[in-house]
Amino acid sequence: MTEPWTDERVARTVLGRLASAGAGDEVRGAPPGFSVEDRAGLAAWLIGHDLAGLGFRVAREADPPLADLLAGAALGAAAGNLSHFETLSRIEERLAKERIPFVLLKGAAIAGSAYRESSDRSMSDIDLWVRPEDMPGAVAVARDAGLRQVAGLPDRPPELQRHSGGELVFRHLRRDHGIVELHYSAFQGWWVRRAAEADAESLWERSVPMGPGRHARRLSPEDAILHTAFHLVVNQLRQAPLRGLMDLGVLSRAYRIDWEAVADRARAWRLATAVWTALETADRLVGLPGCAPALARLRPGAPRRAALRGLVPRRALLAGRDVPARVRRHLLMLALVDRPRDVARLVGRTLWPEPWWLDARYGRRVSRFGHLFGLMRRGEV
Amino acid sequence: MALLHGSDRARPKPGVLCKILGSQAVLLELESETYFGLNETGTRLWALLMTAPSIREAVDTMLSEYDVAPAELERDAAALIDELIDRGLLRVERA
Repeated sequence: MTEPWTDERVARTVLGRLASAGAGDEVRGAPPGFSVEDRAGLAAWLIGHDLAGLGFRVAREADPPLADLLAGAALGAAAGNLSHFETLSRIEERLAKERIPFVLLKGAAIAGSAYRESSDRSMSDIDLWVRPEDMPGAVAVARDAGLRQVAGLPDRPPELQRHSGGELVFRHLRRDHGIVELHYSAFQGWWVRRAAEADAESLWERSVPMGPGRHARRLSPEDAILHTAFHLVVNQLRQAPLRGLMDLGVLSRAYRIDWEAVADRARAWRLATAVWTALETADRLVGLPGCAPALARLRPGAPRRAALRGLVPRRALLAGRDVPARVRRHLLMLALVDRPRDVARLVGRTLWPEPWWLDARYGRRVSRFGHLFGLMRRGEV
Repeated sequence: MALLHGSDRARPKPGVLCKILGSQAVLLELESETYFGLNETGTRLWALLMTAPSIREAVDTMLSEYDVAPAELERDAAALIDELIDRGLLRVERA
């Protein structure tokens, strides 16, 4: 996939317009740069970035021939969302009956709250955050709803997922959509545990109901910004990064964001560089109204900014290209760590983990040398 | 065509969901996860079928809204209804 424009500013105009429409602004005519000559290219680009639903709704008003090109993908994405939301409805009803609280995360939460139309925002699964003590009950509910647990990746056994705040994955026997992930925490993975100190408990306390009469809760708008930013960078801006950046653009327009609180929390959690990287990229490509003071407070030093610019090339994001090599992705994760001593801890514990981590990872007694040798053999060092 | 007479009603089959996107719509059959897109007139007919007391009255409302020969509209409506039934998206409740 390549971007259908030669100028990043044109992309920003188009993406900003989409974000405004996503947040509920009236669509009035075509924005500058929206009606490009190469409509097929623009349609393919929007579809490739999972933005067909939002693009279709805007194009219906602004550029009907473009809407025609997007209709198939948009209807398909809407059908996928229908399936996901039907599954969510059944799970939510059962969790309410069992009095198991949960917070809806990521796509389903943002599509169902910040976007004007839930079909604007495609999703690949449904992410539910439950308290660790409620996980057995939530697993029983998922099974009762007709879902079956999917075996995790070999390097992510369930016990390790529990320690890392990871997830258990469930899916229907026959359906491709309606995949449910039950998360132990809002912040998953070893990077955040080794290199930062994110306060997931405070996110839970600030969460709000999805809507009147709903059992499901969602993150507060500020926490949704932080969580989306964290999720984007911890995945090295892969997995539909423009859709994630669009989420930030829509959240910042749909709510009156307290950007000071965003900056305060990111700094307290030692996620300043990570959050800055995501917000700065979103601000340049989509536009985040009012975020400038927060960006100024989170901005890392000039050398690190230069390194991050090289590691997160915006042109590559627009063109749909991943941060390429594994080595480069590792460098990015190191460059995102706020404190130098956390870099040492992250690298040290990755190569030389705690005995309980080895037990959880391998399910049997493995020495640290054995673990290190395995990493080297797999080319992960 | 027999569907368009009398007071038979059309209802979505259980497990069929609909999402209207502006003037178009998508119907999803959950079990098979197959979906079916409706154009503007198909979407309007679907919306009327879901609310009108009978198929006949839904088609009559369409006739009042569109400048088209009655026979032509009835033929197209019957064809779409038949297709939706064949695809397991719609069922007819006999009066």
